[in-house]
Amino acid sequence: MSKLNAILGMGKRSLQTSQMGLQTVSHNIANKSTEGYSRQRVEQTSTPPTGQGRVQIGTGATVAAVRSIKNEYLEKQIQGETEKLGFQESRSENMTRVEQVFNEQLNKGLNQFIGDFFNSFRELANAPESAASRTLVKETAKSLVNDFRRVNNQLIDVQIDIDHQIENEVSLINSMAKEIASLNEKISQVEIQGRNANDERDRRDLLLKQLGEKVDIKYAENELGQVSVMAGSNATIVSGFSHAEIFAQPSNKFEGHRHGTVKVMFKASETTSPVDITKQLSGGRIGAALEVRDEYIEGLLDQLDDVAFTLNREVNSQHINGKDRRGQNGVLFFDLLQSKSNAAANLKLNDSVENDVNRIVAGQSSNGPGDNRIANSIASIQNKKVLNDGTASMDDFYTAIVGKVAVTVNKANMSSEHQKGIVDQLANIRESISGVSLDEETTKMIELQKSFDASARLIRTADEMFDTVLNIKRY
Amino acid sequence: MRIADKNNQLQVLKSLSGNRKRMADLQGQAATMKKINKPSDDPVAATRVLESKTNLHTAEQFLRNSEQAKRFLEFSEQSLQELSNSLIRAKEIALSQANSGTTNAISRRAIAEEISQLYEQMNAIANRKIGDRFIFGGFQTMDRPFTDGKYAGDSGEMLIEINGDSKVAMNMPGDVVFLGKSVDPEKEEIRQRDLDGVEGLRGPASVAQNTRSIAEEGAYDNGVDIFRALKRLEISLKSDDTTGIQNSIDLIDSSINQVIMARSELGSRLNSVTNNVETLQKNVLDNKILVSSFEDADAFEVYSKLNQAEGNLKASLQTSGKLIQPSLLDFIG
Repeated sequence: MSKLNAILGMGKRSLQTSQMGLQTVSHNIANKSTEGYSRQRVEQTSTPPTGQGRVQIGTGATVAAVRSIKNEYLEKQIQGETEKLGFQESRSENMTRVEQVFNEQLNKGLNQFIGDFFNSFRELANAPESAASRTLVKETAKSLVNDFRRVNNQLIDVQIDIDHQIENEVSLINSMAKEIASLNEKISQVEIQGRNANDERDRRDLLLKQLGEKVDIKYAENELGQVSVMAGSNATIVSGFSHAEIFAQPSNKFEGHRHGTVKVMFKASETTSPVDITKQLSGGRIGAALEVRDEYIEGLLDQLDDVAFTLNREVNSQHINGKDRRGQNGVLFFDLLQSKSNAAANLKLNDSVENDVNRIVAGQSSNGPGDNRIANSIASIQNKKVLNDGTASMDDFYTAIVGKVAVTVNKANMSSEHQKGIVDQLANIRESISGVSLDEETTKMIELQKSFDASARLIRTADEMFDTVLNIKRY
Repeated sequence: MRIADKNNQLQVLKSLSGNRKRMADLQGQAATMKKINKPSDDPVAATRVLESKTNLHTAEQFLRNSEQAKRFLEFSEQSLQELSNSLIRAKEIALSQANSGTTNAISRRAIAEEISQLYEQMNAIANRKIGDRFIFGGFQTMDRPFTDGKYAGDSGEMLIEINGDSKVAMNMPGDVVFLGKSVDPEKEEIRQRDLDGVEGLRGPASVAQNTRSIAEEGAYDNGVDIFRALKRLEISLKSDDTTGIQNSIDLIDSSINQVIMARSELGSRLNSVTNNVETLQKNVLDNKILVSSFEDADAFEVYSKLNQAEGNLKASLQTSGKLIQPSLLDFIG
């Protein structure tokens, strides 16, 4: 049964579908630069036809759904690789700062100060009578002590800076967890009605990606479309509509750390007491920062202490064996260090040596201004294998430290570049699937505009047909 | 592959930032003319550079040490040469005056004056200084070692490190030269230990060769007290004692021997220092070359790479403009 009304109705629906299509096109265009946005497509289907006698007649088209075009598996892969990238990048950045402490390429560093120190004792051996060579010994010793302190303090500065990084990242994690929980709520509300929560899902995928960049997370989606997120191995920070808090807590000299290093605490709910999850976190920017802070820098500080302590011990034991310029018994050259811990920070020239260069010991005999035997034996410490259970000289040991740092930074930089390449590649694939193409949208726009025009023309034609029918009686 | 607008953007950004990074790296190299600006640029080279720099600085210090030792040794040797000249002159006098037939008491007394002058000259030599350091006083470098033939110094030898595993004594204590002290075997042992198994740099003069036992007060066994020998000659001349003069000739002969031994010892030390200086200079040069080969950038290479990178950057900027610019929108009215 053919009706003019049907044509009008079909025209109206057609106008609506093209309009919806255009609306989606403009949504796509508007979100062309939105991070994490996936292009959306209107899925148009023909409406059920009606039968008229022996024929079936079409009834037009309608919008079945608005779907976003994306590959869920790819999104998950990007999330995982981004987590690794966050780890590699943070490690490379922080290690580069550590490297700077040991960089002696362009200016003087500890290696050279150690060399200068022993050379000054050689100068003293050349002229034990001279006040000038004694002053040289004092000055180079002071520079050496200062440089030990500089290296020590700069390493600690990096640790402190890492603490700040962790504090910042942790506060961002909380706001992200909160947003994910509220997106969970919206998504389940929208999708329970059978609609697709495209934009919310895009946003949530982006947040998960950014969250993973900060810390290692595991997540899973339930049948209601809600994701649960777990940081580390068991800190559930998002579950359904609710989110739990993690926070950074400064601590004082805890667990073998020499400085107030921040730890990450997890508070599951208002009523539970916070748990330390610092050791669980091993991925993302925080994981890398913790690794650099707690393993790498701590190790370097220990080794530095080792060098400082050995220097202190060896030099002192020679120095007290001799007689100073006035023939008195030798004093300690450096203030005595009781233990290795914090040796680099505590290394200090003995005050009596500092105040009076004549207290520096060059010789063994009490009456012999030209006696240079102790100066010689102190100078020879430079090549003595006094470290690493008697397998390395101070020079060897320090060079090995620098070499290790260099290799680690070099590797970290390469891994970071490599990981960046992987993520870029995945991002490229993602964009080729989900990215907005203006050419495409423009084509679509023209197509939809034409069909809108045509639908409008159809309504006018139907209107004219009504006119024609109504005018039949007049003539 | 479907190309979305972001694909183009990503590609453009990637190639531009890659090119800019290369430019920045090369610019850094061109500005410092160094290939390695931080250890991670080349870990192996960086540690080698560090080692070589340490070697370089130590070698430079050893060179300074050697210069110092050389100055001391040369000055000591020169002094001993003067000393032996004086002794030879004394021997000539003694020989000319020993025969009672040719000279008489008056001429002997007159010539005793010259011996007295030679004595003063030797005394001056024995108290020679470099700067304010007495060279023949052992460790007692700040006090006059000889007054009236009495030794106030000690037997200290100032060892100077001239390379990583050997030391050389830069002074010769006055008791060895003037009193004929031979080397104390115990002390020799200590020094051998100091040298860590390296052969001592001491020559044969350390062992005084005089086999005749001349019981002289103040002199060591097998050695001669040179001052006393001269003094004895002077007294014998003054008192016209020909037997005494003849005895003195033997003593002065032994003295000359003693000084020559000491001189040859100094000479051999000087020799080893000079040889060592050559080695050190080569060492310094080698290390400089090594450091340079690891860390210095090749100017031509850097500039040509820089040019190339600049070309790449310009090309990618140009193509980027073409890639991003047009869209269908530009062609529909």
